[in-house]
Amino acid sequence: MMNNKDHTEDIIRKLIQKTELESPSDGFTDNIMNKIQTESQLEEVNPVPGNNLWYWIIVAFPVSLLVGAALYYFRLDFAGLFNFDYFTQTLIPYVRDLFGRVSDIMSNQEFSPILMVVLISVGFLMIIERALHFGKRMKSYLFII
Amino acid sequence: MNYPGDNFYIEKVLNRDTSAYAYIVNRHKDMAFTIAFRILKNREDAEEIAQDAFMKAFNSLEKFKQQSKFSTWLYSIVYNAAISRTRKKQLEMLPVDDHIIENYTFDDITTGINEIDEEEQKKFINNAIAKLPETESVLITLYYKEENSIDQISEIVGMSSSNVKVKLHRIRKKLLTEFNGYIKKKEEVKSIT
Repeated sequence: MMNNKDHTEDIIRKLIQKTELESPSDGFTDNIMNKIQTESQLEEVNPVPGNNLWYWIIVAFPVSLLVGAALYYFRLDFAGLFNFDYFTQTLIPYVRDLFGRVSDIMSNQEFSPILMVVLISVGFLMIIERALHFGKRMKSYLFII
Repeated sequence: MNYPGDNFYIEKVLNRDTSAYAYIVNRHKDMAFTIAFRILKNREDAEEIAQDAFMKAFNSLEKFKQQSKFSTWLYSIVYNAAISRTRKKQLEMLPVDDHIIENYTFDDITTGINEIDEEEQKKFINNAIAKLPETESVLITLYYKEENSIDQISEIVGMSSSNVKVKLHRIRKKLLTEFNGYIKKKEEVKSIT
């Protein structure tokens, strides 16, 4: 025999099962699919660099800073750059010296201005990457509305 | 055609077949819209919220871990968006009659149900659900119409399972009281005529 709780459950279930869900307008699914299609087309037109590309940029940026600083430091001209003697006699000892300085910094636990510049550069690149993602979302949104 | 399940179409969408998402939308649009409509009581707003929820789900599909059901995840997006819309609009809440007097017997109700036709029953229950506060009307629909478990409902609406159980119990009582009142009114009208 049914107790009160089961009885209530049974009555309510039967009644609610008789109701119908509300339905959205006829073009509901089409609207969503059109929005999705528009977003996909926008992504094709304005592709945002993938994560891998940004890792390369992050790696390349400090390297380019170092190379730029080295070029500036030695006042190299393009003719001198391809001089083999120059590389062996001046640039290689300099690079060796640079590694020595870095290890000194690490052992003394001090941060040189250059290291700070590199760290700030990487952080800045990360911010740009996030901003680009946000920009992409906003562009899609504006395009849709 | 048999629906092969949400995960089947989710895999397709993740493999760049975005058109497969239409099957998912068609499958869940009514329930998603109903949840939004029960809360917002406005078809345009409900449609906008349901569409936004489907778009949000699509854009976050890669993050969906498939630990819970897709529908549970989707409905929670709809529910939260609709609730925050009502808070923003500060819609006037319908008066809630929490004072429930159980002055009915189950025999009265069973007899009453048998005496009214199917169409009238539908009309009554639709009106009764519409009178419930927003969350309660969603809970009752998810539980009895969509047949979600208590745990799934608690995930959708962000309440504890015990809270959901208590609320469902109260809603059942409210609906039965309402139904009893409806039957009595009908009888009164009958006896007058």
